[in-house]
Amino acid sequence: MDKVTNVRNMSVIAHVDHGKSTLTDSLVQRAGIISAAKAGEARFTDTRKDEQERGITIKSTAISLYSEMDDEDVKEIKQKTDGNKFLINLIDSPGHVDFSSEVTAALRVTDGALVVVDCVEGVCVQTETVLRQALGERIKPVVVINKVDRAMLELQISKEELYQSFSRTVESVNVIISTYVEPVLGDVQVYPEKGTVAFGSGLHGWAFTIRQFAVRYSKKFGVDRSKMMERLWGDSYFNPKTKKWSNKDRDASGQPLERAFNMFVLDPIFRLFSAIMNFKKDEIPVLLEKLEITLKGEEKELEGKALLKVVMRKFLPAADALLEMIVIHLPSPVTAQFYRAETLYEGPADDASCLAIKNCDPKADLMLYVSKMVPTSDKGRFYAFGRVFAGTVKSGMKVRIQGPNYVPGKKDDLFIKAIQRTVLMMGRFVEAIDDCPAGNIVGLVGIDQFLLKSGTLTTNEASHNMKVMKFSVSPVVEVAVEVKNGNDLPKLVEGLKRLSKSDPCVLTSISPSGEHIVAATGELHLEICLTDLENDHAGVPLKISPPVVSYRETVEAESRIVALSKSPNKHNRIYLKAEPMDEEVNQAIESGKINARDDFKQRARLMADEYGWDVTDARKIWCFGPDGSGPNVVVDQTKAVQYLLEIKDHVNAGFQWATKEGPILGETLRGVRFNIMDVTLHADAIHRGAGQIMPTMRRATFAAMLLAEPRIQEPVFLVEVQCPENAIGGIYSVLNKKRGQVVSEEQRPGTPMFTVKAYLPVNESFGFTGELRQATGGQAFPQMIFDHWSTMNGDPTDKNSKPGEIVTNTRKRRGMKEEVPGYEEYYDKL
Amino acid sequence: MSELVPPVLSTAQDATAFEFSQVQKTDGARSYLGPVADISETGLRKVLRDYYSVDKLVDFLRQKDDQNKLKYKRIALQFPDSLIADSSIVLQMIQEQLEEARDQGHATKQSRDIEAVELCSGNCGRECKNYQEVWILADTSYSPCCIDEVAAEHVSADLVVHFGDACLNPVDKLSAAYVFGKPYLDTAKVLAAFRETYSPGEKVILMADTSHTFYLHDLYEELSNEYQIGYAELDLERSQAAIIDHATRSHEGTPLASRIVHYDGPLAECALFHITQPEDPRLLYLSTQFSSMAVYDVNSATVSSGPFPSLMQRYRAMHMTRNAGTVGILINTLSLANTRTLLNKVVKWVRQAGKKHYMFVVGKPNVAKLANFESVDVWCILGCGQSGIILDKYGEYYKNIVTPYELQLALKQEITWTGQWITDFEAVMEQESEHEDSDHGEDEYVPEFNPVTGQLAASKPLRQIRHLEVELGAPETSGSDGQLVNRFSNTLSIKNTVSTSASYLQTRAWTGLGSDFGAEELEGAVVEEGRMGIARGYDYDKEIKN
Repeated sequence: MDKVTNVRNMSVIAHVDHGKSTLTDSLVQRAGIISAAKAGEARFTDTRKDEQERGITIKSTAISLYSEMDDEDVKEIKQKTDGNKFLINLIDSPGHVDFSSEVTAALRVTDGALVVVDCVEGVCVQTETVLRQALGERIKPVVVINKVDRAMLELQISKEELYQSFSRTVESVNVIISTYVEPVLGDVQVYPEKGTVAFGSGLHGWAFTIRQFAVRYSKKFGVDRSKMMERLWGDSYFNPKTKKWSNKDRDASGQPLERAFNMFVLDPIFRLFSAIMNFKKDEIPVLLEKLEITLKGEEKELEGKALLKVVMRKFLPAADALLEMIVIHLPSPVTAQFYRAETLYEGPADDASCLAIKNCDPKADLMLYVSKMVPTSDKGRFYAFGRVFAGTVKSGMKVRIQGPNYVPGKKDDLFIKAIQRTVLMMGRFVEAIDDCPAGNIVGLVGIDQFLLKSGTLTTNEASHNMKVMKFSVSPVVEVAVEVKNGNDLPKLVEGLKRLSKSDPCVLTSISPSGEHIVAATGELHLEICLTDLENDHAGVPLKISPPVVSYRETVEAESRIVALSKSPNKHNRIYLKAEPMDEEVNQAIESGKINARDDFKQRARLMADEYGWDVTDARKIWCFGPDGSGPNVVVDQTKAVQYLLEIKDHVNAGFQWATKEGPILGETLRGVRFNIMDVTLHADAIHRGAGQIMPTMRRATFAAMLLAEPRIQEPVFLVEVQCPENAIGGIYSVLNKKRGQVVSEEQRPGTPMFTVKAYLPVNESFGFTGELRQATGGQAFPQMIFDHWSTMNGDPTDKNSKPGEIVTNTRKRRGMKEEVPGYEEYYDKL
Repeated sequence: MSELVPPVLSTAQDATAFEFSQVQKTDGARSYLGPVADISETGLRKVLRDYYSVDKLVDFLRQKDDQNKLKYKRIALQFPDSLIADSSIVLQMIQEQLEEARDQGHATKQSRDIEAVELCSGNCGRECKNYQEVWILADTSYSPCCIDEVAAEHVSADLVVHFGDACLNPVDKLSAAYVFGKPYLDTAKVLAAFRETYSPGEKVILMADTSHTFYLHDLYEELSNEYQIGYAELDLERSQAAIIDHATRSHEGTPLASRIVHYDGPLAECALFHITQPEDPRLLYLSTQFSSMAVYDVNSATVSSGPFPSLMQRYRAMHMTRNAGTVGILINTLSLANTRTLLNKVVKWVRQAGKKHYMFVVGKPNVAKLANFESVDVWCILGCGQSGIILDKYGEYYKNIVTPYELQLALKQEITWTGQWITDFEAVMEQESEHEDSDHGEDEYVPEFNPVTGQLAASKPLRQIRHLEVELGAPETSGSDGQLVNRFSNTLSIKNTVSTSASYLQTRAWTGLGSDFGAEELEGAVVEEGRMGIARGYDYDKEIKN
């Protein structure tokens, strides 16, 4: 642990059911935590009861593994190392799209990612999402192609077909990587011939990399190992007659040659499979001897799949292949933090804390990012789970706890508190440790009360925050919860607090009409959250309303006329115009690319260069909202107004207030730019105080919006369905009924499966899975992930339109006046 | 509408720019009088004389005390805004009648008993001890349903006569009389609307504002065969004031919100049929007491059953209060009994909870006035339960406004919500439980979870002082950088208490004149090379020549 160069922090990421937890098991087994027999079934990292029952991972779980490498192998590591002992901190993450936020939290504290891809299903929607997130966090990927046994046993495909399938998968992974890669990371595409791709079966506990075979054969052929590796992949053929290598698939006489990969790598595996699965008793011992596999007494009695499992596990242990790949190819914290520092730290790149992160300096001031809260056995208390980026964290150390709203030099969201204990998270167990130097993942006891979901710990007063994580998913599905028994109300509130702590993405709030709202990313996420809330966190019976969708308010055109609002004393006026912003800008703000906290000059340059803003306009952005960071802006376009800066704070406050609860249905605004055209102010300061300006700005905002063809936006899911051809008709009919839009329909090469991608409004997605199952005879399962906000056609102020209906219902539910007020309500005549 | 163009010079201010908006002229129709045939002045006078029972009022005003002196010499007539149009006529009638009575008094006394004649010839004016002065009070500072003590004190009145709907809350130190008026009500329409709303056999309570209450008994008689019905009468004993021309039938029943309800059985099961729309706070209070509510609008003869202000909105406000650091105590009444006691209690509660408080007396609070005090996180309003409490139904106010009862709930350690809504000051004080002294142990700085926003927030500024000192450290030594005055604005503690206002000021972007200096980058013109040479021949001329 103290030798930071020999630490690897990595997360296992993949699409749901591609076998992350199962694969992790084989690593855990190597560490001796679970028995070899159980590996692949135990799902060690699925610590919760419902995870085991449902067979899906819900929470990400961390474990630390210890590994030793041959000196030979250590030489191949292209970064600084110290000895041949390695510590691997591994985080198993959930694959279901609804829990992407867990993945984000896992990625933040790791430097490398093991991307698991199902050999049959190939690259799926969540594979792409998590890979994109990983690259965004500057995390280096390596790939495991999993479930090879399935391809061989169920699909019975030939060696060449398997090779083609492998190379297609690698290809599509590389396409994604090249799309989203950050230039600083360098070339992070994966190459089987370089050993950054492994192939295997998590269930059976075996896996291999080309490198392993290359090691075997290089001795045999007496060829250099790296040369051998290159020959074992791609268009490289071996002519057994001439004992020559060639890059053509025919020999001189035109006879087809076998691909080297097929011949040297797949052939032994295929032979083993066919021998064992076809019960060729006589062939087996010969093969085993050739491959130097010895079976123990009782293992000899086994046959069929059980025998195959044992044999393969001895032949190509998964842990060996994976650990080797992880240790050799994934960066150590020292390597990774060097290029990650600037994306991790909010403050300037040259301040002490940033430099300490960059150098992964264990002697510097502490910089620790808490990425999530892990419930302890002690009800209501949590471990703060995070990574030490600089300095060393010790038990009993007094630290500054900086919440997400902390601003250097201010006292908001800042607490000073001693860490009671530091622990190492080991799946279901924890292990107490004295201290933990930079580069490691750690659990902390005793500071959970001061942080809600995430935060920065530091010992340096001048430190800024570590960057807040941005999630790719958004909590767009919400329900109102009520206690069945009024006396349980305090328990519900306490439960909601625990729920918001334990999940990085769930949002709880009280609606203006006084209902407790729980918002989650999808139906499954919501279901898990509510069961947790009812059974665990609150422990009281609940009444739950049917799910509803949260909307956004926006505009489609520029305000017809300049909206004018006068202050209550009629002595001040604000002239405002609203106009829509480009969707790219909205997304850039939401993803943190355009950040309200950035230096305004840099921000303006970025906005001008990449989003076509006028530089002077971009520099004159007064504020973002809501919450000071949302995708709405106020731009000062006034000329020579006296006292203007004095009212900036009031305008800002009024704007935050207005963007939080819009005029149409009380939802937040999105994608609206407000231009202050002119301001008239009273000459006496007392007559242009907060009380005059703030409500006026709010009224002006509303008026400008209502004058600019207001619209509402609804969230839209990207749905991916994999199904056989005969089920496609059913999918289309269900999608049509639900306002779905098909984006693409592709056959997966080499399989009879089709992949249909479509956009589906979240509002229509309730019960979609069930209906789809019905329409396709249970052959199609959708994966739904929040994709974007889509502006609904139709005037929300017109009650007969579809948006109008939504608006009326929502207003009714929230106890607002049913009619959307006209702009006249907020507009003052000159 | 034509395009509005902002004026060229934005800060130009001339007289026309700031003209006050004209007050909308209201029509003179007095709908509460019902269909009046004669709208001439004399006709109106006759109707109003009946409406306000002026004769009986004058009799009351003429009362004499033990020493045969006039009890009330200076009389204030308080009208709500809706009835202000009648004020001059009523005043005139009262003055005339008082004068008449006085003249009679002079005449009779002179003739009957020469000894009793006081030195008064009848035209001695204000000096006369038989003279009674009458004022009109309008534009009530707080709630029009209460007696306006402050305005009455301006004229040092002995008596306030309150006209129209009233809350009947006891008054601290002034004599008061109520005249409710006898508004017109088409009972047939009410009965029709009632029957339409409820099916026979339902449990319903009839209630009305004070002016319409005298109809209730008749309605009750009409409906009692068909429904399980009860009705509410005014609770006259509670108010400790004189009521002109209003009689109650019995004092037996359940007292509820200045009414006595004649009904056997628990009220919570009953529906409420209320004639005229009560003010929001009263509406909310009543809606917590009955199972359902219907409001009959007198003018349009229609029944509405919502939306009423909801108690759940108050629940949200209560949660916001839990996380507030600074409480603004807004005094919205001066006349109610116990105001001062409750105020002291509220201050005590807030202090004990480690929060900061400020006290405000604002006449007619509105959005703009309250928004001026940005460092206040929540307002606690002390006002009359009928109309003196601001219920922010549509989120117009910048910060939440809660009642003392809600504040009390919010300041408890444990989250509590009773489903009750108590506005009466005495009742609130009765609710006060022994405030457990919260432990000053390790966990006192722990931020609280705010279920409204789903965030953690620290809300006990006064408790933070020790905690903050840790990091504030020793005060910086001055002088080293040549500053004459230490920068003061960075300190959060003033006189050993945390100043929430100071911390608020620090978050502001605008810190005074000159704070924006240098922010705007001034871009100078690009320097270009000019001409060289002299006028006779510039260098480019030379080039041409050569």
